[in-house]
Amino acid sequence: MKDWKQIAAAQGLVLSQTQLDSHVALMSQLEGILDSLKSKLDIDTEPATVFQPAPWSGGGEK
Amino acid sequence: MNTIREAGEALRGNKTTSVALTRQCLDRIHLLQPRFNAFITVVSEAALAQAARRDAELAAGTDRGPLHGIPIALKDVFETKGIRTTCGSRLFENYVPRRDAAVAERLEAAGCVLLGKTGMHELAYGVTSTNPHFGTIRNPWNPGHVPGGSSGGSGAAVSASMAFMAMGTDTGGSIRIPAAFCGTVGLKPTYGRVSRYGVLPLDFSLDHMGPLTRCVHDAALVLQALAGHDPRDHTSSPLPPGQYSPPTGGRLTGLRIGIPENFYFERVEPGIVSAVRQTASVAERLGAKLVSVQVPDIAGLNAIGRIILFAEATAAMEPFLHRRDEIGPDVLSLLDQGRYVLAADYVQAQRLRRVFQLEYNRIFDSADVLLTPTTPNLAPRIGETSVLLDGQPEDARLASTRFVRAINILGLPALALPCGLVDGLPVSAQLIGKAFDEATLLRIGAAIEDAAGGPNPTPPGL
Repeated sequence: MKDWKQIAAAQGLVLSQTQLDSHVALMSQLEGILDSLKSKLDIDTEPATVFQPAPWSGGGEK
Repeated sequence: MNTIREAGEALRGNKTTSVALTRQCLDRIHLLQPRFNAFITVVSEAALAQAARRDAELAAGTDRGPLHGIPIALKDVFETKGIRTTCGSRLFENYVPRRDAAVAERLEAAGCVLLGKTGMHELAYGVTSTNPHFGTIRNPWNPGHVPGGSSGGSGAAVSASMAFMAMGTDTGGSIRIPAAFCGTVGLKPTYGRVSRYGVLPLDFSLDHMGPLTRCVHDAALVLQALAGHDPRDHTSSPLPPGQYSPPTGGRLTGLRIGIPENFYFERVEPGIVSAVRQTASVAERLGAKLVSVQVPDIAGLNAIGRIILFAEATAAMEPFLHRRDEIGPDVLSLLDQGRYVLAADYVQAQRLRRVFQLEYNRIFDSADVLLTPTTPNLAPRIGETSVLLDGQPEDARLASTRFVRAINILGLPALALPCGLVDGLPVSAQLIGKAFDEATLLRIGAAIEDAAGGPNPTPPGL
C-alpha cells in the first residue's frame, strides 16, 4: 500500500486531519480496486488514449 | 407549445414568430428565476434582436432548418463570444471569450436564438448544482430538491419551459443526471461525435457535449445540427453523422434490448425498478425482443474512471490551484485528490479502460442497446449528502453517478428517458448504445415516448 499521507505532504497539500483521513480512505480504496484489476492487463495492452502525430502545418504554427 | 417540433410547425404555419417564442421564454425566465435560479446570464435584448433577424430571414424565404428561430440556452461552460462564460466558478466570473464554442457556432448556423447561459455545479465538477458562487439551483418538481448536475441549470430551464432546449456537458453523468432528476430527455452522444472545441474542459478524455430537451424527437433534431467533424478538436470523429430523426409512433420490431442481470438493478429505489421494467414492457409491446445480459465489472470500471477523472481534472485546473480561497470546498477536495494519482496508476487505468471497452462491446453481440435505470435514487434534498438505498446509506454523489459514469469511460452514447414519477419526483431510464449508433437509441426512445403519450408533463403549478 502506498503511504498516502507522505504523498499528500510531498505534494504540499495542507489539509485538516479530517480531510486527510478522508482522502487516505478514498485513495486506499481506489488503489485496492486498481490492483485487483491489473491481472486483466496483458503486456501489450495499449492505453485507451493514444498519441497521434499532428499533421505538419507549415512551420511552427500552434 | 413546449417542444421544438411544435414550435417549428407553428413558425412555418405563420401561427407564431421567433420573437413571440423568445418573449414567451424570457417571460418564463424572469418569472421563475427567483424560484429556481436556472440561469447565470440572460441576454434578453440580444435574444429579441436575434429572434427578429430569424423572423426576417423566414419572411425572406431563408429557412435554416428545424431549429430556425428556436430559443435555447447554453450551459455556462460553452464559450460565447462577447458573453461572459463563468464555468460556475469565481475563477472565471469575469471571463468574456473572444470566440464561440463549436456547439454555439453550429446552433447559431442552425438558426437558434440564444437566451442565455445556464447555471451549473462549480467547474462542472459535481452532481448537485449547489453552487457557492452563483447560488443554489433548485428542482422545478420540488424546489427543496437538487436538480442534479453538473448541468443543473439546463435541466431546470428545460423542465420548467424556460427554454426549448439547453445544452449540457457530461463527464460522469452531468447531462443524464439532471435530465433524470428534472424529468427531461438528456442525450450524451458518443465521444467524438460533438466537438469539444471552445468548452472549458473538466476532463479531456471524458467530457461529452449534448442536449437536454423535452422530448426525444427534439434531441434528435439538435444532434443533427451538432454532429460532424471539427478539425479544431483532435478527438472529433471523421465518421459522417447519421440520420437521427426517428419516425413518429415507430415500431421496434427486430431490435434486441438488453436487460442487465447484474449491477444495474441492485440497490435501487423500488419505484425506479418498477418504472424501468414497465418501460421495457412498453418496448416489448412495440415489437422489441428483451434479452438478459451480464455486464462486466462496472464498479471496477467506475473506480478506474475516478482515477482518470481525478488526474485529468487536476491537470486541467492546475494553473488555478493556487487560488484555493476562490474554489468551493467540495470541488477543492476533488482537485486535491487528483494530486495523489501517480503517473503509472493513471496509465494503468487508461490501459484497463481499453480492456473494459472490449469486454463491454461484447454485450452488443446479443443486444442492440441496454436498458437500465439512469440513477438508482431520486433527486436528493438540497444539502443531503447521503441517500438510503436498500436500507443502507450511500454517498449521494456516488449513488447518483453509479449507473452513468462508466459510459463516459467507454465513450458510448446514452439517452436518459423520463419514465414516470415516484413521490412526485421524476424517474428516468437509460438507453446505452453502440459507439456512433445514436440513431438506434433515439429510435427506441422516441417509440417508447410516443407510446407513453408524448413528453413528460410540465411540473405541477408551472
